[in-house]
Amino acid sequence: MRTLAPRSAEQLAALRRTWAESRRVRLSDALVPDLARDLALSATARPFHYFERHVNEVRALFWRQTVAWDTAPSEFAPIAALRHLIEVDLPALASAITGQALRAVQDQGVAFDLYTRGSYLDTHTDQGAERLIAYVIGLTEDAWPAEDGGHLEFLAPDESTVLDRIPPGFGTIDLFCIYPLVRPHRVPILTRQVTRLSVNGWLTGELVAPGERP
Amino acid sequence: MNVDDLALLAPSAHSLAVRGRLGDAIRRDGHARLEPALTEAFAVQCLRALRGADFIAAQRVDPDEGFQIWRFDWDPAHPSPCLDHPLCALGRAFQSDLLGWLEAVTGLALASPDLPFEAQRLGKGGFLDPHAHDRAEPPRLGLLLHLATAPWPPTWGGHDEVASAIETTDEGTTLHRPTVLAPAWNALDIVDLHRFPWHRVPLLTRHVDAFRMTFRFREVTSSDLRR
Repeated sequence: MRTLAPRSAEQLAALRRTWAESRRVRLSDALVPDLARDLALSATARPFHYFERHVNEVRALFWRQTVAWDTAPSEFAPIAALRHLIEVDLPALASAITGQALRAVQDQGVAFDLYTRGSYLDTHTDQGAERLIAYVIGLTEDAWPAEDGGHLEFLAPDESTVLDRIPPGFGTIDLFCIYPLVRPHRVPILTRQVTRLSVNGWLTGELVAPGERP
Repeated sequence: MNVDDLALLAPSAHSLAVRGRLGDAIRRDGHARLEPALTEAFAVQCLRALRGADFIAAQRVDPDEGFQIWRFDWDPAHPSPCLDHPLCALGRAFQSDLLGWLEAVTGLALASPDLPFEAQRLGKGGFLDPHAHDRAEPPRLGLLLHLATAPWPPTWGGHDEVASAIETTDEGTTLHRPTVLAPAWNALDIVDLHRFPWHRVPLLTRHVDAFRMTFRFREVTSSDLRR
């Protein structure tokens, strides 16, 4: 099963350089043809549930659809490809780009996150046991300016100055370091009548020092 | 009824001057604000009760008639009756003494307010697109009791807007020349819903600490009198 679009050695080298410079990278047209479309169509054909969390000072409000790996209905065929992507192909690609030996978090399923008008994710750092890299698989077909919210923003330690901003993508994979480079980030409240759909997660591993063999 | 014996309203609400000013404003502008509305002690009791209430999230994803709110509904008669709860005391007052006070202020003959009573917690991400309550037979008066611990600018959203009509712009449906009812601590807006049937709350983009309660009253009809 192939889930990632093929990349040349030159392209991979360019991704490694980008990662080394900024500890974040976007892969455009990351998925094999039609996979992003199939995942988006499958997800939007099923109900999303209201998701509101308030943990310490971090609040989140959006919609979520959780699909268990072993209970995915037959009409949700792309879920098998998504599982292979998350558990096999993505850790391998991220390891090749970052130089870290990365593995997927062992989950029982996957969550699709949907933002509509009024959705947001407050500033947080994603810190967690052995988490090194965060990923965002973009399934968003709409496009809109950053001032309408819904873009992923990286902040300075003061948690107010925006250092970098990533628009939602379709068929994209964004990777960014969450340890040892700790960057507060957020998704500002979406003020426009559009939808932002993505699959988000983390890759874990033992931190490897420069020069060490992963 | 002796309106000067009301225990829940702020003392200033009892004065003839204040009642006259409110009545004049409602007849002239279709809207008046009483501030402070409740005695400070009772307002704090209500705030505590609201902070302890189980607000339920409700949403509709729709480009023109969407909403995202957190509401708590209650009926002062249930559980049978809830004698010592401040919200129930307030609800019962709006069915009796405060109803009389409102009639004295407005000069209208009012029926007991619609049930259940509704409280809303204002929160980041909350909004109400333009809507009108019961367009066929709109209530006559709408009351908004604000319990916001700190004010905020209208640019953050979350301010109630009322208007006589809606209009369609490139940005979608909105209110025509709205009157803004800013959140405040312990303020009561009295709105003539025949003048201002349309209501909207723009998207609130910041975290705030605020609640509001709504009460709607219909005029007494000839069929009510026959009963």
